[in-house]
Amino acid sequence: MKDIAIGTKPIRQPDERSMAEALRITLLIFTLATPFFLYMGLSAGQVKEEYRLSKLVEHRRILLKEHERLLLTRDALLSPSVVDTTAREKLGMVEEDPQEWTVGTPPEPGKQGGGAEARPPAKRDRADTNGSPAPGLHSAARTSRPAPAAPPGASRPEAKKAPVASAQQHAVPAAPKEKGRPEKASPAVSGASVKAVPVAKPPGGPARPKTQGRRRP
Amino acid sequence: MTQGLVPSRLRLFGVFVAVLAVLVVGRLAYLQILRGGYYAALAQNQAQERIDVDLPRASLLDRRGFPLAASTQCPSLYTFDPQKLTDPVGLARAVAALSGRDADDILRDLRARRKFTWLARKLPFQDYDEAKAICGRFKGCDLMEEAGRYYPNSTLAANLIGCVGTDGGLTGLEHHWNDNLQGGTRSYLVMRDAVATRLIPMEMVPDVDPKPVAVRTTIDQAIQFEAERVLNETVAGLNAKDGVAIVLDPRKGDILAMAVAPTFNPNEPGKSTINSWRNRAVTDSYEPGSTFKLITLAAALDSGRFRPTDTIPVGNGTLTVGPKTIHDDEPPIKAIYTLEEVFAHSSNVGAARIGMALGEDTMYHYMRLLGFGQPTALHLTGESAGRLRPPKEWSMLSLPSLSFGQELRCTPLQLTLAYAAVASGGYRVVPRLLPDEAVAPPERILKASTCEALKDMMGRVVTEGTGKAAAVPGVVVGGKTGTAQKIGQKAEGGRRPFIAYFVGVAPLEDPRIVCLVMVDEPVGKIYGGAISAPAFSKIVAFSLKRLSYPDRPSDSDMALMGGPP
Repeated sequence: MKDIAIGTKPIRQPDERSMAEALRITLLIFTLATPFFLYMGLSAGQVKEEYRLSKLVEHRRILLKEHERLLLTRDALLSPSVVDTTAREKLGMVEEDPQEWTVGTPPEPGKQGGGAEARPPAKRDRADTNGSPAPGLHSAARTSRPAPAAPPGASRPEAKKAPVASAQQHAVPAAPKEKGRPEKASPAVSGASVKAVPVAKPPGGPARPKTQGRRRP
Repeated sequence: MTQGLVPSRLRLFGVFVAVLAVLVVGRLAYLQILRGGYYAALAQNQAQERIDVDLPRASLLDRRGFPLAASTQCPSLYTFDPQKLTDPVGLARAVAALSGRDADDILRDLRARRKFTWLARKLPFQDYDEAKAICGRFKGCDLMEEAGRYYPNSTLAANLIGCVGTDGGLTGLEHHWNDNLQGGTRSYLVMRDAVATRLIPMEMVPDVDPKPVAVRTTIDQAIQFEAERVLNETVAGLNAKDGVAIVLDPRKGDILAMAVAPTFNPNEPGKSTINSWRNRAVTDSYEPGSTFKLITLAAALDSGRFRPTDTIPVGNGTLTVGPKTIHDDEPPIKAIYTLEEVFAHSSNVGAARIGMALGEDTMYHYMRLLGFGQPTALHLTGESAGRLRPPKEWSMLSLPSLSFGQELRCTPLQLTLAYAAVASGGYRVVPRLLPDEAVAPPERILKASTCEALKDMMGRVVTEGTGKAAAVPGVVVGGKTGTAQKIGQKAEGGRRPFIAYFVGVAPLEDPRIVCLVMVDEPVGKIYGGAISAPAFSKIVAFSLKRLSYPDRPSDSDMALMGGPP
């Protein structure tokens, strides 16, 4: 380094060597600092992402638990007892009973099978067992072609002598007989038919609930 | 002299130090090397702890996959420092409204205790949101989730499934299959600080518990419900002591329904008596009464000593054996019955004469062959073997009495299995509750011709005998009524010491179902034909529909009938 004198006071001049040193130091600092700041920046981003991820995991955990709870609630609501209670109490439904008579839809003019709706809702004769359908088989044929009414107290003579299969396939369970208890003689009724609707109120009979397609015994 | 002493003292000191060093090093080596493992474990135990967490129990499903029992997380409410609660009265009222606990009890706990206090434990999982809302409203109240068991169908099949307590299953399948149902434990290593407060490293706590496995059973939820509904109606209608209904598939031995009345709610087992927890279908034994005549006739026909058309004199319906006179319930319509008529009219005298003609050994052989006097293959907890004494313990009256179902006791399941053996064409039916379990290899115990004859007889019971009320429209069914007298027992509450049975098979030509209905100590009516047979009819009609019987005809049959292929 060369000193230049201005008057009596020497002025120190930077030499080329010092400049190079300063540049080196600056570069060194930059080289060291850059990765540090880069690391810091990335770390901060990572922390942020991890935080977001942990929130999502927690949210997922809560949703899974909620899902589990909802599945159990669904199972509880689908249990037969709940379905049965709802069907009976809220929807006014009754279970299908093949021994029960039902009143059919009024037939269209000119078609077969009329008058079922006008018939009084007398109880089906237990002895009138022929032609009784299988459970759940309330067929349209019964709607259109009602069976003739059997006389009250009509017996089923063929049931005793017929082979087991043929006798039972047409059998309707008889009322349980208890000793000493006289069996009620019930009037006959036609075998007509299905689910439908506008029904004439039976003379003197009880009013049918509006929600029910069939009358409970 | 002095110069000579110093080195020797130094030498001694040096030796002493050396020995000391050797001892110290030796001790260190002993502690670090020989006992290193022990002390390392000791240190680890002081700082760390291994805790085991129970995993959720496996769910129980019905045959179609509907849940019968499920594991869930139940909310529990607690507080760490009751004395710092701002509104303990409000909190006590809110918790009482949710849990049903007495508010005064909760408040007493909160005022008396200074540390951790439970407010309500294992609330129903449906109350989770309300429990959380309470925690939000009252500072200091917190929520913790505990593993619990939930029965979505409430009382459905409760006596069969059972219930769980703190340490696992208490009754039923929950107890019987406890080891299989328990999800095991998961171990966590946790660090402890100086005051032994647990510090669980977060990375060791799983985010989501593993989904528990499920065990599928042979129970059909809908058939079970119908059987329970019909049985409960029957038992309640007659104010009976108890009742059992079993529906079984004789082809594979699958138990489709096992209904017991009275029952209990396994979600709240504490609210019912332990007596109502019993699965009476397997734990209690009863006199089978006339339903046992099937076994007598099976022995008669299978041994070749009788044919169905052979005649038995029944006289006027009485038979005196020693000091005792056996009576028919109703006077016989004629003096001589065929075997078929003995069965159809349920003649005690006829059955007693057949049994006496067969002899003790033959009768006992067939009784054992059909499973009486021994537990079933289910081996359920508390299962009874019934009571069948060996012939050497029999009295003069035993053989005729046994022939019509007295002097022995059997469980309803044993009786159902005996009928199932006949329904299956003479093969032993091994009951099972797991549909994935291998079906036992067929073992013939009765001749096919015997079973065909017995099935015809069962059909006649329904068409012209005592079981007319068991008929199912459109389906040929057969069975046997039974009205057993409970010997030496007094019924309470106006009840009569009788058991009303109906055990039957449907459809008779291709049995899909064997169903037993038993009503114990009814009031008023006592006859199986009047009590149990109508219930049988309802259960079987529903079950066959549920099992899609009759099957859809084959395409070739449909084509023959002119229907769509």
